[in-house]
Amino acid sequence: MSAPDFAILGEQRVGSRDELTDLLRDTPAPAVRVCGKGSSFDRLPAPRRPPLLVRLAAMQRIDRLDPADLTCSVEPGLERQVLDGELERHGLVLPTPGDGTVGGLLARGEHRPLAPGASCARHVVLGLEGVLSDGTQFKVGARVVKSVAGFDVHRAFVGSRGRLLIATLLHLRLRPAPRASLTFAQGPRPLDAALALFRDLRLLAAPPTSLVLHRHDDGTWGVVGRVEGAPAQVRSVRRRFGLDPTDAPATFGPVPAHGRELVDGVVQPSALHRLLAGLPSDAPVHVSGTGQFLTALRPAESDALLARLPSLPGGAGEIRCGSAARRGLASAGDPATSQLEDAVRLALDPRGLLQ
Amino acid sequence: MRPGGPAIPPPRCLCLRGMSRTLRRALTELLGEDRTLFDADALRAYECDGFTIHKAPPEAVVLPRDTQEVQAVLRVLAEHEVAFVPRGAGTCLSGGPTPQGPAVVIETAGMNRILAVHAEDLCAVVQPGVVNAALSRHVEPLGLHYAPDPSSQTVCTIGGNLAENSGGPHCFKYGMTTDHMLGAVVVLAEGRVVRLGGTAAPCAPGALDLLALFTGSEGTFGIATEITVRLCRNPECVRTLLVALPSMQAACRVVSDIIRAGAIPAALEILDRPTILAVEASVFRAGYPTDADAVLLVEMDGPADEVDADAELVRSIAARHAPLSLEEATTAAERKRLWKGRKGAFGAMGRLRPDLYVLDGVVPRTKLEETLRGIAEIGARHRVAISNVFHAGDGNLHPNISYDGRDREETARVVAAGHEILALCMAMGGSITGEHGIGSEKLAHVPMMFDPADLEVMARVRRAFDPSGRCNPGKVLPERGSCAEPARWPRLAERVLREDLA
Repeated sequence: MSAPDFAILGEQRVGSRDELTDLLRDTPAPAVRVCGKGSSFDRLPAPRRPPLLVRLAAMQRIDRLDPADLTCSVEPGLERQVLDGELERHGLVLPTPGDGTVGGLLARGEHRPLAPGASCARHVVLGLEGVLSDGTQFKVGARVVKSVAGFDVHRAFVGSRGRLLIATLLHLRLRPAPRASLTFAQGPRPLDAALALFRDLRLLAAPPTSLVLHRHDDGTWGVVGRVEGAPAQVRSVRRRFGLDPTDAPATFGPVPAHGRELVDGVVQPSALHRLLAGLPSDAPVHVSGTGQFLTALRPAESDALLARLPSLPGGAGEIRCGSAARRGLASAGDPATSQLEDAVRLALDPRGLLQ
Repeated sequence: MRPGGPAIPPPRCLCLRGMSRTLRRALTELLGEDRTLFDADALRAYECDGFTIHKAPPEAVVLPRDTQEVQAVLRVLAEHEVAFVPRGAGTCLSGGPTPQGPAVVIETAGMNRILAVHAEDLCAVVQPGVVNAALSRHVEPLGLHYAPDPSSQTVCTIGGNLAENSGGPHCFKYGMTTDHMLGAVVVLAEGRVVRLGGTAAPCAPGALDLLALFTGSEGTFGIATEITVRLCRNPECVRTLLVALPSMQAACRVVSDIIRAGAIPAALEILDRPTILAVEASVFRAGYPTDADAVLLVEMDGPADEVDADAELVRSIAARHAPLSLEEATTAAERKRLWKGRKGAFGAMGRLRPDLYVLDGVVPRTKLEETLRGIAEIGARHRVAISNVFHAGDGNLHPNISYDGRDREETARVVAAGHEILALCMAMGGSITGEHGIGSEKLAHVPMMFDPADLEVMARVRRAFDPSGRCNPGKVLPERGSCAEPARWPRLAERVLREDLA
């Protein structure tokens, strides 16, 4: 269990939806922060007021797994690794990147697709059972792979960081495990050459399911990723692009060195060259095939980037890892949309308990 | 309160007690006489969508052309506290754009410009009235297409698809409309313009995914006036197989075996015998074997190596289930022919009787066989003719009931049978709608799926978008208490269901 880097009022563990409901109804705390094992404390904005920390790690059941229907329902505290192990026995995968507990990786929603057409957290949640901060128990969505009944509150849970509601059971979409796959790492090259390869792979009719452009310490660039599909297809892409296999998993996101913070941003892929040209030359940076990027910067550099991003097509960003005081600082958005966001948050959490 | 309905307080009662002269004048001044309709004959064209059991003409129709005009119209309507209903091409099948009470229809079908295509970024910005298939045609020379393909794709609009979170045969592999939306400019009920998502991602880092909430809200949250959609590269190779099978059971088992083997075809569609016969007797004739109890249309797309492997897999699986025939399209024209029957199935069945009730329910795919048997029993009990065409990969059923809406007794039996079919889907662990939406059609069925607390949570979200409750009132969530005269459909449905449940 990780400890938070912000002040808390206390800590409580809950093992069931009813326990959680009672706690929320009775708590005198002015704020509640919900977590799984706490692996995301340094990746989320710190609460404005010291909260009661509520851990859901004990809610870790696989409620049901229907391999033939490609769905399952799990409690939020279930570790991704444990779920993956169970799915592997049935030749299935949860088609989204991310680690930690299942509830945590979905609530963080930090990974947009790593390549065009690839699946991500936004795509896997079919429905959920949950509790609002006032103790209202509810369900939204469905257990089946397709449903448009009611409003998609479950999809808004993804990336909400626990600010809207607390999920207690998640209905998830699964996919058959790929019949063949290749993780590749293309060696150091100048930015233009790396971008050209990155672009060619990104615009394939069947692009890699994961594609990351990254800068090496010496200033050269590499491309890593993963191709999945029928064995002949994987072999064909490997041959065509001369892809070098690697045993190392294709990770996304540099680890910020001391004194740096991680900025999570996005631009339209056509603006990548302009984005990268404007970054400090020593800044580690990873860019996904859909234009999401993570870069480790010094605070002043982060501020400059956040100010610059709205001028790039589709540009927006936020400080994700860094000091508690700076996490969550973001580039300017549309004020009317922020107002609507506040209204939605207030509608589901009128007391402002969830932070 | 509706039977079993939730305790949701109604929105503030805002009825349009006849179009005031001031309001008429204000709307006409904004858009001109040719884009404001008040004449009863003209309004009749807007009295229903594809769900023809429920008909209710609006008080007026306005035809704005851009965000500013929509904003101006909504401000005027807000000033007069008048309800409104967004409408695209009117192809919805659940009464979504049919007014539930006095309201002004805002038709966006004329907002049909493709504003930008960013091939490098695999996205396009369009007005809501752009027709689904027209967008794919427009970007085809760039080697791109827009993936969601509802059966009505030659006429339905992207704005309507966004409002309904439309599906289609290819969403088994490619996902629903929500999976292909990047952003939307939305005008809220009071005329405020908000930007949901963007051009690079459906939500900015750290922001709430409001676009996901808006998608599928059936026009109850606001009106999208500019939409950024994700485009897909055209597949390198497409192969389409038609497998004729001696029984529905065999067809369902072929589908299960294909998925169990790890393949994800682009589409897995089944048509039953009554549908085959209707198609073959219509202008949509596709050469389906009329001696088959079911035909299964399997389409695989992707890299040639992968598609070839999958096609062999499908052939070998089908062979294990004693197919009557197996046909593969070898040219684009043949593929088009095989799809013609499927895409025209609803039209073909519409010729059998004056009216067609297209149902939409979902069950876990493994329950398809059992559910279809149950549907046949329900049809026999209520003496209604039911045919089935469905997205087998998703377990998304479309039982179709052909009937004569002029016969009230028969219509009542159709409604009762439809209710039982949806109840059966729920009993199987499914959903009351996979892609058509709740609209007005399924208001009475919503409590089968959600209890009052669930609906209260959704109502809170709705009020955050539209506190006045003027945006397509009476849809999606059952409401109790309204000063509006209930429309014919809900009244009829309630009566039938009350009798049925008693």
